[in-house]
Amino acid sequence: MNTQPHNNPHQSSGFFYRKEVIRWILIIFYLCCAGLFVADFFIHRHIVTDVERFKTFYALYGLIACVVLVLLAKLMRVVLIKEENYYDETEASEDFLNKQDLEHPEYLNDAPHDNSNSASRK
Amino acid sequence: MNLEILSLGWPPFVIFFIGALVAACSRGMTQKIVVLATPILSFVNFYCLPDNLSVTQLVYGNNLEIVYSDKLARLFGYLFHLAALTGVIYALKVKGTIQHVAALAYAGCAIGAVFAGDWITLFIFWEGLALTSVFLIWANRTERSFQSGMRYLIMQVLSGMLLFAGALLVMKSGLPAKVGALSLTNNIDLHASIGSWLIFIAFGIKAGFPLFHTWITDSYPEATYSGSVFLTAFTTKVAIYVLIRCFAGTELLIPIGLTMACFPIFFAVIENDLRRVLTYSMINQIGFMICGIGIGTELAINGAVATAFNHVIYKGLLMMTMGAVLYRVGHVRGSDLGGLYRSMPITTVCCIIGAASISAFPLFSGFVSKAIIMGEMLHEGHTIGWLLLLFAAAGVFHHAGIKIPYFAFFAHDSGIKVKEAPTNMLIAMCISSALCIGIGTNPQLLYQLLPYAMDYSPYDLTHVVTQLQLLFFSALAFVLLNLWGQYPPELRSVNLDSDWFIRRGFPATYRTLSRMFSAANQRVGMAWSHFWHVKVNFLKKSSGPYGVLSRGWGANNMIFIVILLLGALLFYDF
Repeated sequence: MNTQPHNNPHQSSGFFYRKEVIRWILIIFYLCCAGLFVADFFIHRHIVTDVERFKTFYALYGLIACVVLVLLAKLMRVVLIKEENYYDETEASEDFLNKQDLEHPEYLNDAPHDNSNSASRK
Repeated sequence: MNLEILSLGWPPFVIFFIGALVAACSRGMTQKIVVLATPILSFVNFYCLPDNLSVTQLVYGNNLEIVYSDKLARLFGYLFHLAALTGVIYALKVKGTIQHVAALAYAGCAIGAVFAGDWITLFIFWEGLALTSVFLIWANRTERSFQSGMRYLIMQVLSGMLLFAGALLVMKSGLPAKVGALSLTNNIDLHASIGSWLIFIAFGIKAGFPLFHTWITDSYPEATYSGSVFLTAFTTKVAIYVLIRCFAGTELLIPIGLTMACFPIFFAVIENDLRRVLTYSMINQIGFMICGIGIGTELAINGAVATAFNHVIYKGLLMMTMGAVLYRVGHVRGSDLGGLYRSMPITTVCCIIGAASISAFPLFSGFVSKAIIMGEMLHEGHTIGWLLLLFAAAGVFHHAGIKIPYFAFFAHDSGIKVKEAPTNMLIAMCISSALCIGIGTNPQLLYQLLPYAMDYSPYDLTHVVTQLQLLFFSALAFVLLNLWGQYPPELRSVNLDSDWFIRRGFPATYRTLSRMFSAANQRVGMAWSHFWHVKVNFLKKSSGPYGVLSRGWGANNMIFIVILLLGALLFYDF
């Protein structure tokens, strides 16, 4: 099974592949995250349920939820992953087996003399 | 039929069927004009119809209400016209007649189902949805799409049969034939109770309830690049509409909706086919709507309707962008894509707008609708449910908001160089993108169309900041897991889902049982044959040409036997 991610043979080029661009995007992103995290201590939120009273609840919940999601999904994949053409192959091979069964049924093997019967069953 | 209705216009679905018929008979440029004109003409006709409308028709002694219109139906009417228009623009360059005809008839059936006033009319359009849409899957003309279409059809027809049986039972119990509120618990008799449950399951199959959901993830990604755009718009939304009409406030819908919102995101994270990722996220979004219907308050119903409205637009947009990639590149495998933003910049921007909308970023359409459902969940005291929806909201950003644009247009450079999507596709995508931003920035445009009046503003500080915190830290998780090499790579693979039972489990069980019975049957057959063999031999010996009973006896033997009998008689008398 080819489960290797695509390996790029050539050099990537383009604005979003430049290292400094990626670095700046990440810096801006981290600053946004930090800003939103800190903002929670200064703004007054409407609270409906007790869980929300915990400062930075939404930020931490989002972070933890997604980490748990990805790690659990990875575990799930171990059990659920199959080859890309798993259903095609199995369905095709089943058809083949069924045809084989019809053409050469086991019960006819015991009666090799009955050729006319075998032909009619096809 | 009320003549005054005819003077105002035709029933809203009629023009689509006429359009489909004319499109079937025309070719080339004429066909394109017909296809394009149909939703526009139909919309004009629909717009001119009065708000509250009822058209009845006597069929075989039954008074069928073929059109019933109220505010809820009209909103879905607008939505389906919009979806049909963007869909036909997107699919304008599709070669071959079948897809154009199927798409128009499919849209007509969806609109017909929305305006169906009674159960029988609903059933007819319900089946029509299945029979017309399957051609959008089969139009791919591959063995895989054919098999998938067959499985799709089986599930859809099963849903139709359950609806019909349920409707007959409900009507037999004396409940009105009009499509209206049903109850799963408080019913006047057993007929009504069983009928309601059957209808509930029928709607559930179409809505993609857990374990019934695989027809969506199985068949939508096998449809043509334009077919999947139509498919995402109609069938499941019709199911949402009828669930709102019949089962609003049914508490059972809340756990079902929560399950639908949460479980698909795990599958979406590890799925490689990006259109299939979208179908998983579609079930996740339907889960939000089902929760809203289950809560059942006016605000929650408004939230469910608004989410359905926005979902058709942003999921259609995302499907269009992936369709454009499929059209240009030939596949949508995340493992083999990447770097397409250079070749398809407009498609990339549209995809990001769709992704921001589905993730409910402020200023995009998802934000103004999803918030209503989540707020109602909290206000009605379902704290655990609210936490699960929050998890689902973070998850949808993770797999649909980030994964789809990232793996298709950025990520590793696949070196694929293609042209930008054709102009008609770009126009359709830009219309949908404009709607996503338009509704996101002016939510009152949508709110005034909702079935219940409400005074609601999604843009308060708490809501905006908390939503941004949730989304940015979900993104942070994605970034950190990627940097640490913990994010599951896109692999050429298929992940097993509950359809394994239908596709592999049941056939394997059937084969095993069949072989077992075959072996047993063979043994019984042999024993039976042996029995007859013995019996025939016995008969051969006794009654055959030289058998005891059939061989010729001489006269002396006859006389001997007669003397013996007479002697015995004499002895007896003596």
